[in-house]
Amino acid sequence: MSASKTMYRSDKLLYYSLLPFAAIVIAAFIMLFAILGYVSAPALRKYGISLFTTTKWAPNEANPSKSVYGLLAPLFGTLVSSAIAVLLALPVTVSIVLVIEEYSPERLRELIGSIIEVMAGLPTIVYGLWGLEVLAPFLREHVYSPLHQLLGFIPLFSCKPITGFNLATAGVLLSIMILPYMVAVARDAYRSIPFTYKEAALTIGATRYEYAKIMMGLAKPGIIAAALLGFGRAAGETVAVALVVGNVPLVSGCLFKPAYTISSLIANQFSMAPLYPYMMSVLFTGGLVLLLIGMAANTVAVIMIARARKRLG
Amino acid sequence: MSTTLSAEEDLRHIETSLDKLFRVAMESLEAVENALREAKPLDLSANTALAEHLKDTIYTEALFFIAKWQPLGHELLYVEALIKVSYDLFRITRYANEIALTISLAPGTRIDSQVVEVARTAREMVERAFRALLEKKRDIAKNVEELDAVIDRAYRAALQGVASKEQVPREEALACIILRQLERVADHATYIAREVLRALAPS
Amino acid sequence: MERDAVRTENLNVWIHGKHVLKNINFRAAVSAITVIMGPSGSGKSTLLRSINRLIEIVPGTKVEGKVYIFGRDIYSDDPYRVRRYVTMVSQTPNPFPHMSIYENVAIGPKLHRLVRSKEELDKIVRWALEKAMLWDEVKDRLNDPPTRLSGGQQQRLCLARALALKPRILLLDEPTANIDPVNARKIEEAIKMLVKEEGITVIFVTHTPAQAVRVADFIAFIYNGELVEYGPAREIALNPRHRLTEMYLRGEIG
Ligand SMILES: Nc1ncnc2c1ncn2[C@@H]1O[C@H](COP(=O)(O)OP(=O)(O)OP(=O)(O)O)[C@@H](O)[C@H]1O
Ligand SMILES: [Mg+2]
Repeated sequence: MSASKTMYRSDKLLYYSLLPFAAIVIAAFIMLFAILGYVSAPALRKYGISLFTTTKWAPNEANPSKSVYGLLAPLFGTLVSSAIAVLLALPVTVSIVLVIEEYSPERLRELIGSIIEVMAGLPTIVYGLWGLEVLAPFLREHVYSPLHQLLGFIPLFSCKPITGFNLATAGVLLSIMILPYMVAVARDAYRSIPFTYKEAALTIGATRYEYAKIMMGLAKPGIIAAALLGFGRAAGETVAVALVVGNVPLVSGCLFKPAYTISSLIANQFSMAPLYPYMMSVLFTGGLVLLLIGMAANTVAVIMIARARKRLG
Repeated sequence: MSTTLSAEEDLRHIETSLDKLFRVAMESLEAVENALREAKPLDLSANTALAEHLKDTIYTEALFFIAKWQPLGHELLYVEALIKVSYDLFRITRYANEIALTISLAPGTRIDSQVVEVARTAREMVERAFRALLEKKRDIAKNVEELDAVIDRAYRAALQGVASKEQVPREEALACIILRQLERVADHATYIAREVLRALAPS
Repeated sequence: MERDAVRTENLNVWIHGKHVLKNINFRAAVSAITVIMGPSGSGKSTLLRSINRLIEIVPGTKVEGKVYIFGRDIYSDDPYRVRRYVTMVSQTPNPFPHMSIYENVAIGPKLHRLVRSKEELDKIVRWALEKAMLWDEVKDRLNDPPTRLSGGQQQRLCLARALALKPRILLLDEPTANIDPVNARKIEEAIKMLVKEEGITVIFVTHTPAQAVRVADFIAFIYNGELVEYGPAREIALNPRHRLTEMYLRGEIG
């Protein structure tokens, strides 16, 4: 750091006195990894790669060494429900950002803004209960059943929606939950577009629609970042998902089948884990995977945001 | 109004006006020669008015050129030269007009053919000096200065002739006056030539 | 047809209650360069933006009076339509950073479906870049992002982007403000050539009298939101009638 050469004495003092706090954060992060790794190690050593290729989750009380733990189904559930959530939330995010930033009068803009803030602040258990009591039955009745009847030939809709607790509902609920975050990130990206580009788009005679297209092109890295951050959040979401996903370790091409996610697996099994050898270790492996997914999504998102900043000057 | 693209284009405009002025001057000098040769009255007042108008136009155009392009170096000197030359050409036309007036005061008076010869030389000087300017040729300009001496000599001789006599015949007096005006014409031609030498970038 | 491409009639603009343009009666002759000259904050950009109705996207503005373009009152027209034949180049270079050099120029014709084939589009892009005197510098890297160009090149790219729409009126807001003299002269020359060869009408904003005199056929001097004096460039340069104009030319106010 070349700046340190020219730093004043008092600056130096401040710099060094703040250093421990930064060090604590870094140390905590490393320790998180270390502990997760340490606790996961026995399971990884025992089951190896089969941990991620097995669907079956069969703890054996009588003969613990015959227990089978497969993380494939929860991993699949996590990735698919999060993907559904992002796919559903993305167009809504883009529309909301456009409506707030371009097409609403001051009042409406503020109203939408505060609604979104409230949404972001709600405890997740509230979403979960609402999903359980309202969303799941509603979707089964008015969306899944008609879809199955009309478009049953498509594998995604080919199974009968026996209950409303399945992968699709988890995705829909998650999309609602991550929406406020995605809107916040995307809105920031949109706002950071310098006025001069808006002017440029209009001076070449772009209509509202074309204008929006150009603006979205400019905000694209930020919107991708929003999607990735949303994905990371969705993957880590626990309580609400556990209430609606069905909690059955299945890997199926049909969205109306119940499923599992890593976080709901951890939440459901954790209390029993100490009773079985290796189960705790397997659950921690799931946690490690979640951490890696979250980190990957965040890292790419941060890179996208940095790129957007650089591009827009 | 037409938009001009470059400084060169604007300069060409000024040069075109100057060329017009030059032609008015030349036409006036030729008319003077003819009138001298044929001892006929002559009226050049229209030419003089036109020359003055052209000169004023060139002044404005050149001033505007300087304001517009802010020329430096030899380009600036050249614009100054165009202004000065327009004044010289205007004066030349004015002297031609005065000669015409002089002739018209005593119509029918035969003027010595040597004066006609001097008038021709003066006209040639103007022509060469101007050509040197437009063609940007220094050697032509140098030539003009040499001719000036010839005309000076002719005028001095006439002046001496008049000064040495008790009584001077009308023709001789008129010739002397006309020679004096031609000498001024030659002077202005020389000024033009000097401007050329001063303003043209050494190549 | 009118002799004036643009004419304003008692144009008044308020921004957040501030009277920014006061009773402006401005005009711009067809196929000529009219310069709007005036000090910073005098309302030049505001006047320019009133002519393509861009002023409306600035929050808190109120516009009164009329703006006629080729005799038509644009404030009773569709603003998007107006901006197709009245294009503008802004004070700071603003090529779209997420598009290539080529796409930046192609976007206008594509938006307005001025072309039917890729070949036609290529032709228009090339034409616009040539007219903006940029073609030779970018012809081998049309797919590069514009951020790799110098400021002057970016500004010429913006000019090309505007030209690709084949506008009849071109609004230029200090197009050479942040640019070195050589690039600035290139832009000036490109603009004069356009007027001469394509018959485009240009309205050119600048705050430097020297540039105003250099490019203008007509000069409008505005000061404090008022149109102080209007006339042929020569008249304004050599024989300004208003004391303020005189002072501005001499650099005594501004
Ligand atoms: N968005 C705005 N909010 C408030 N006032 C504004 C706004 N835009 C312009 N103004 C005011 O309007 C006046 C004219 O501004 P304008 O941008 O037209 O000036 P200008 O002549 O283009 O100046 P410059 O040469 O600095 O670009 C200024 O006094 C400015 O304060
Ligand atoms: Mg401005």
